[in-house]
This record gives sequence, C-alpha cells and structure tokens, in this order.
Amino acid sequence: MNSLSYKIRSWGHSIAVSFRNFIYWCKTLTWKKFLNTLKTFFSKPQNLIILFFTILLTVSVLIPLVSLFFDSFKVQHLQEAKTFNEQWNLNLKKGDWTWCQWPTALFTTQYDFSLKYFWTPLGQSILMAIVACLIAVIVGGVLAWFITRSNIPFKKYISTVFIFPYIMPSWSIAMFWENFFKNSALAASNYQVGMLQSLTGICAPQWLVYGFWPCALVLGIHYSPFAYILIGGILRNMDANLEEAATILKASRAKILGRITIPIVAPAIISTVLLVFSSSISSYTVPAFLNKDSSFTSISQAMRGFLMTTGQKGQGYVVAVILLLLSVIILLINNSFTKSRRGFTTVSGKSGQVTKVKIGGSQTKWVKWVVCAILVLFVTFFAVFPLVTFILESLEENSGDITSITLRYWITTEELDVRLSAQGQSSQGILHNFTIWRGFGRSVLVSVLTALVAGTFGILIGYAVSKNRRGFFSNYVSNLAFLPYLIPALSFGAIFFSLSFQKGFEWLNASGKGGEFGAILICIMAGSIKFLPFASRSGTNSMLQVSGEIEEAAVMTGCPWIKRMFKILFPIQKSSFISCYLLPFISCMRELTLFVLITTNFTLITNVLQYFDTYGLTQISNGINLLIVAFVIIVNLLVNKLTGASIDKGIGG
Amino acid sequence: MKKALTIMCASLLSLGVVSMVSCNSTSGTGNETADVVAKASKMSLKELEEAAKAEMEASNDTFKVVGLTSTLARGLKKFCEIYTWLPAEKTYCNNGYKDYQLLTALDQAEQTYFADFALVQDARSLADYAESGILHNYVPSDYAEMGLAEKDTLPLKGIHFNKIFFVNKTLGVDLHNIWQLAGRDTDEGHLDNLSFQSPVTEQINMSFLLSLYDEANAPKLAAAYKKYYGKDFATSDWKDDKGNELYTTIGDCYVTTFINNIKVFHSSDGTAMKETQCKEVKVEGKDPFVYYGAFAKMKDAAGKTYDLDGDGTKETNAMTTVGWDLAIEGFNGFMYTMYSQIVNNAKHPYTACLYARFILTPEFYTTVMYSDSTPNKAGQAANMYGYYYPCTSTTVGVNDNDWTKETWMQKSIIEDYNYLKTVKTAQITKIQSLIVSKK
Repeated sequence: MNSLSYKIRSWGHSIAVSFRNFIYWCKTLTWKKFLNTLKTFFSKPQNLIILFFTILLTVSVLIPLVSLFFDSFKVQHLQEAKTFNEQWNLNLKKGDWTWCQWPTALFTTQYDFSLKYFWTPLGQSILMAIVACLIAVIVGGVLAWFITRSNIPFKKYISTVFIFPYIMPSWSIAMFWENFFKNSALAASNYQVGMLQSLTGICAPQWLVYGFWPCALVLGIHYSPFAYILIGGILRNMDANLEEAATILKASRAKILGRITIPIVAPAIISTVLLVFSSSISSYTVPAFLNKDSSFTSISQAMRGFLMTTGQKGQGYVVAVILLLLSVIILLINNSFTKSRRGFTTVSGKSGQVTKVKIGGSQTKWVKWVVCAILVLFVTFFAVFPLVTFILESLEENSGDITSITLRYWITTEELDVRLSAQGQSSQGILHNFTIWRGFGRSVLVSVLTALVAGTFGILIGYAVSKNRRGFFSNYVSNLAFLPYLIPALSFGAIFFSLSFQKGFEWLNASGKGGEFGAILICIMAGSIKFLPFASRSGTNSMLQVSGEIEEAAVMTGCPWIKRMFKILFPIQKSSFISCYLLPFISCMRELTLFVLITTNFTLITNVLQYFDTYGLTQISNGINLLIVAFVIIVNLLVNKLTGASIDKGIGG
Repeated sequence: MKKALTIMCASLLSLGVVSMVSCNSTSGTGNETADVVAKASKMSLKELEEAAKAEMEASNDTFKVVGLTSTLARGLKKFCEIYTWLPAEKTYCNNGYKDYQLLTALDQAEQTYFADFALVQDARSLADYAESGILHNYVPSDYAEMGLAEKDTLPLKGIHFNKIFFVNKTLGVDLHNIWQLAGRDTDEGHLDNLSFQSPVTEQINMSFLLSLYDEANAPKLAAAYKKYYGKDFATSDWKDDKGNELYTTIGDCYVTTFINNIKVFHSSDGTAMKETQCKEVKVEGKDPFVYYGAFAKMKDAAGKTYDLDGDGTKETNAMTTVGWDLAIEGFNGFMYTMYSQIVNNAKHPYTACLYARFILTPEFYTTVMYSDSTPNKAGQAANMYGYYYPCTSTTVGVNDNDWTKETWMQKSIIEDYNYLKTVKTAQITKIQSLIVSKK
C-alpha cells in the first residue's frame, strides 16, 4: 500500500515537473529555438520513424479498433432493435447507440444462454489456449535447446521440418489428427477406421479424437514453431560462458536452468505465450473441425455464430472486444516484463562462445541417438505425415482409398466442372489450369509485396522502438503494431472493403474501376497492416538484442544512418531480418478470410481454392493446398541457401 | 452584432423551411432505388427492356451481380447472349461468397453502391435487410402469366432448394417416421445416429429448426406422432424426474429431442452425401446413420465412384447408394428459397430488375439447371436434383428420376418468410443453448 502511494506521489511529482518545464519552454520559446528543436528532433532517424508510424498506425489500426469497440455499442440489425426494445422497453432503431448488447451477451439467464454460449466457451477456450501455450513452449523450447545447444545428429532435418506445421494451415493438422485417430468405436467419426486402428487395432478414446484435448494439442503443435524460432534465436546467440561459470561454481543443472537459461529466454517465452494465446483463443477452424461430437464449443465458434446470425451481430462484436481485451492484458504483461528488464542484449561487440552439451557420456552414446530418433519421429509425424496426406488427397479419386490413386486431377486437359468453364475459367487438371496459375501468380505477387512492406515496416519499428524504449510514442507504436493481430480478419477486411467504395478510392475496388489490379493493391495494403505484428515483433526482438555500442561506434565515425543499417545492423541480424519478411510472406500466401471481401472469385489462389472446395473438386483444392505449402517451403529453403537465413533461425536470431 | 445574429437566424430558419418543403414534395419512398424498383414493377417487359438498355448504354460502370450459387454466373452469360446491348465484359459476378460473407458485403449498400442484383438465402436475414432498405423487392408486372403465384413475389423467389434426410440404402435403414429421429432413445424403432450440420453456423438449418416451432407445421408433427406412439401428443407425457413438464408444444418437444439425438455435426453436406454415406459400413449393434443435407449435392455424388469391395474396380457410384426417396411419416426435409433482390444504391436498377425477371424464365432454368451428370430416365440431360423452378411452365421439364417440386412441397417443411421474419431472437438463443450444451 505504502509502495503504491509512493508511486502515485512520484508520478504526480514527475508530471508536475514536466508541466513546469513545458511552461518554461513555451515562455522562452523563440522561432529560432523552435526550429532548432525541430532540427534536433528530426536529425534522429528513430524520431522520424516513430512520427511516421504514429500517424500511419493511428489511421490504419486504432481507427478500426475503435470502430470495432463502438460497434459493440451500436444496434447492428433491426432484429436487434426489436429485441432490445421489447426486452428493455426502449425505442431503438438500427444504428442507434446502446449498451444492451453487453448484458444480453454476458448475462442472459433465459435457457442459461450466457452461461452456455458465452461463459463456458470462454472459460474452456482460455484453458485450451493455456494448454496450447504450454505445449508450444515445452515442445518448441525443448526442440530449440536440442538444436542449438546439444550435439544431436540430424539437426538440419529436424530444424527444417519442424516449421512445416506453421507453414501448413492449422486445419490440415486437425484433419490429419482425425484421420489418424478415428476408429470404429466412435459414432462421431461415423465408425470409420483411422490409420492408428488399421495399423495397430487400437481404438483411441473419444476425448482424444474430438473436443478440448485434441484442439489444444493440435493448436499447441501448430504454433510450437513460434516457440522454437523465438527461443532458438536467443539460445543460438547466448554466451555459454554464463552457464559454464555457474557450472564451475558447482551450481546444479536445475539451478542453472532456473537462474540463467530460463531468465535469458524469458522474453522469448513471453512473446510465444502472447502469440500462441492470441492465435489459439481466436482460432476457428481447428475447434470447428474437431468438434463433431459437440463436446467442446470454443469462444471463436460462439463469436462466429453471433456474427453470422441476424439479430446477434452486435453480441459478436462484444465477444470480439472481450477477446481483444484478453490479448491486450497479455500484451501489457509482456510489456511490463520487457520494461522491467534492463536489457536483452545477446549480441554485443565482445566475443562470445556457444558450447554444445554432449548428450550421453562416452559410454552412453546411444542416448544421443535415442533422443535424435524420438525427435525425428516426432517432427516427421506432425510435419511430414500431414503433408503426405495432402499429396494423397490430391491424387486419390476417392479420399482415403489408396488404390484409387490417379494423376487425373493434375494432368487432365478435360474440363472437370462446367460451372467453372461457363464462367470463362478453367477446371482442367492443376498443371493445365490457367485459373489456378493466374491466382497463384497474383498470390505470390501480393505476398512478396506485402512481405516487403510489412517486413521493412517491422524492421524500422524495431529499430525506432529499441532506440527509445521508454518513450511514450515508441511504446504507442510498438503496441499498435501488434494490435492488428488481435482484430478478426473478416472485420479487418470489411474496413478495407468499405474504403474501396469511398469517393477517391474506387480504383481499389475489385468489382469496379480497380478490377484485379485494384484487388491486388488493396490486398497489399490490408496485408501489410494485418501481418505487421509478426514483422514488428521480430524486428523489435532482434534490435533489442543488438548492443547500442555497435552502432554508436559507427556514429562516432560519421557513418550515415542508411549505411549503418545496411552495413552493420542488417549483416549482424540477417536471419532475424529475413524472418521479418518471411513470416508475413507465409501468412499472406495462405490467407483467405482477410481478403475474401476485397477480391473476386478468382483473384488469389486461396479464392480459387475455396471455389474448388465449395464445388466439390476436393482433389484439386487439396492439390492447391499442397502447392501453397510446397512453394513456401521451397522459398524458405532457397532463402536459406542463398542468404544463410531462414525462419527456423528466425525471430530474435 | 445583434443585427448579424438576426440575419443568421432568419437564414437558418428559411433554409430549414425550404429543406422541409423540398423533402415533403418528393413523391415516392424517398429512396431512389426503391422508387425505381417500384416503377419497374409496373412496367411491361418491353418497357423494362428499353429502360435497362438505356440505363446500361448511359453507364460506364459494370453491371454487378452477387450471390452464393454458380448458376448466377452462367445465367448472366446467357442474359448477355439474349440482350446483346449488355456485353459480357461489362458485367461482374461474384458468386464465391459464403452466406455470412455476402451479408457483411451487403451492409455496404446501406451507404453506397455495392452491387445491382443479389440472390439472397436465409429468410430472416433477408427480412432484416429489406426492412432496413438495403434490399428492394421487384415484382414482374406479368408474374401471373409467368406462372408465379402472388405469394411467391413478396419477396420474389429465385430458385428453390431443399435439404433432406437421406441414408445409405444398402444398409437397410428403416426410416418411416420422423419421430424415429427424435423422441426417446428407448422408443421402438428409434434411430440413434443422426448426422446434421450445426445450425450455429449453417443458417438454413437454423431456419429448419425454427420452422418446426411454427404452429402451421404442428399438424405434420402431430400426425406422425400419433402414428408412431399410437396416441395424441400431450405435454403431460413428457416430464422430467421431478414431474415437471419438459416441453410447451409439440414443436418444442421435437426440436429439443432431435438436437439431443444428433451424434455427428458434419461440416459439409457435400462430403456427407458424396462420400461418408457411401463408405458407411454396417456396425453390429449400432443403428446406421441418417444424414440431413442439401439434395443439390447429388450432382457431386454423381461424379464419385468407389471400390467398396476392394476388388480393384470402382463399381459403386455414390449417387446410387443415396437413399433419398423415403416414405417418411411427417416430412422428408426442408424446402427453402434463394430470393432475387435489387441492392440499395444500385447503379443499374432496371437491368437488375430485368435480370431478376430473367431468373424466372424457362430459358434461365434450362440453361443453368440441366446437367448431364443427373440425367432423366431416357438418359438425357435434365434438371439437377435439389434445384426447383418456382414458376409453372410447360417448357420446363422435371427430372423423372427425382420427385416433382409439388411432391417435395407436400413432403417437406416449407420455409415461410412471413413466419421466420417474426421469430424472436430468444427462440434462436434457445436452439443455440441446446446445441452447445448437448451431451
């Protein structure tokens, strides 16, 4: 209590002093002094960057967020107005301000509605997200340690393959999970035999196939590459002298882990928790796929249900705001943690060394091989098998029937669906299909340009924030750059969709003057903001690790800022910077929800995929999925080959 | 200063009066699109064609059509062939939306131009959007000559679809009464395994369940109940352990017990029809599945063949195993409609009205609804299962392998726009609660 009152008094004092100084500055202000102040301010590139992003992000992120918040206080449909008028004896019309959405969503006792449809899904989803975080941190962290700090063989394979689950859409792992575990004892799987049962005769229990646990496990595995990339980045650069010094001082392994290793990787763990929690709690496809027995309704499903139901849309916005608040709380915890630390430097001007821990003694070398075998099996199971499933699904005439393998859906020149050819599109096999390749080309273009914009923005934000960690505006920019991650993709897309109909912006409208060119431009705009969080997190983490003395030395010699960036900072943190570009690229390649309103039926490859899937050509839609995943993997490997960097060496490297 | 203030007040007052007078002097609804649509509704076909032609010739913009079905694009192509003053490159069709995506996009039309024509499903949403002035209803002046009933003009019907109960007919499922899918597990003939798409995300399934609460459909449920249980429905027959009556109406009883009986919430009607049912095998001691899904997916099933006996030849066509023509006491499914609507702020409202009218013509129907994959008994291309023509016509044939629209109407719960638009949100929350708390 005393400490709190002391803090309040000290804040009051600081504000008073700042105010007094400001008044003094205003009183003594002359035109020359003002210009000098401006000149000094803008001579620092970080200030310019912060100013630019303060304006840009306020317009593109804060306004949509505020509008989302306001939407939860507005009557969205006439049906809502009627309900509220009846229930609360009001006289509302569509578009009126109201607080009724909140108690209706949170406290409706009729049929235990709020309890069953909001509170229980929310509680379960928080629990699911926590379990997913735990799995992601444990799996990703342990793997990162083995790869960076041990002498196990096959590191390259494990490291490359382990990021596949992130590259693949989360529902593909869910689909694999179901195909693997479903069995003839479960009605929810229509008594179909899955891989596990056909190989071993074992029938997995229902809770392992559908509901809470599989959702948490699948999401944890899907997002574990985040932990692997973030923690691995720090472990890779961590000076082993610290641990060795502790060993010399006879500290136990547990003590070293608890007092040295974990505190050093703590920022990465917190960042992982932030990313995994936010992603898991709002994940829709995995719970939708693994809830065939209706045993687990996630809050994202409830939110989608609200948003899709005329008369409940406003309540959907209430849920969206609450999810946003939850993630903001974690963001604040993350921030307070980062603020409380004096530094995260792992890359300095001094030499460091990374020694590898030998797994197993000279007599027990087999331990190393056992560990390696477990890791190889694990990554192969979750990363390679789902990919193989995709390949098979694109080749099998009948899903799950290996005897019906055919190349027809890849090579045929026959039109497979008249509904597509009647629209001037192609429904031929993937290799001959101009609709697919045109969409693919556009997706690559959009993803590359989005990655360039988002990645560059992320690096600049990272630079400016790291130079001015305690500044109000740098914190503002840093936080705002993360918030697009928390805005539902469809709502975010709807804002840009609406923009494309405004006077002066019609050239961005896919259905109007803009055409496909407009669609591509607006996708780049929307994507650059929506995927900025990956880049800004990556950029900030990597910049925080670079000791200021390195750049200061260059400043002393009069080296200009651009040169410092390209000749010093970029080479040092190349891996991290490239991951700033690769992460938005991957996300953008497989994104649909964000783009669906601002594109046409066939603009991007994901539009085409949805079209083929809706119209029953699932082999082609699976082939397209495979194409996207394979392309991203190839790009990652190519970048790795050409630059030595890759996302698996990624964020914070 | 005083003088300036007086002048300013007087100016404001006169401006207000002028504005009020000019507002009052506007005839019609005050909404430009609504006025044009009302005008078009009074035009003869020739007048409408001329107005549409003049409108398109004066416009530099594309004619925009949005909806959820691929038939729209094919219909638009045919429309351009007939009306040569509308070149195909001056048209735009987006039919790749999911239903909620289309509704989100339509919200835009409240303020500004978004599209000219929309084919909308889900009567409840349509009612809301129509009342909000986002969608406008056109009625062809010659609807009666086209064979359209007056009740089908408000809102204007476009294409009929249906969702039905179906089984794998090789498994010998005895589904003869709709109460076999609800009621109690211990009822004789009760079918334990029901596969249904969640109404939380599939709005048509929500409309189906809501329609079962409609008093107008109670007789169907009651007659089937009597046949199944051998007595009339009475709420006193359905009590919990404490003796409290569980249900207020027969619809309430049916919906609640039906939801409790769902074993699988499948994510795709298409997969259920073309794959899951066909691959289903008889499991000892378990009831075979009864599926509920869109009959229109039969065309997808028609294209799938499976090697079920493992002899290396794919001899089983998925369509042939679909048991859909079941003699079910009560009803076989739900008949619903996609409605033709003119979008608010349309730049080409006359052309949109003309297109709405075109959708009701045999030309449209035979162009887009006939398919080789679902031929008639003579082996000729015929209308696809699950798509039905809203008008009466001698030139539009029916697929003699399918039931006629009239038969389906008799054997189905029919979407009633006027009932669904009055359904209160509380009714929906009840169904949502039942779904998420289902054990």
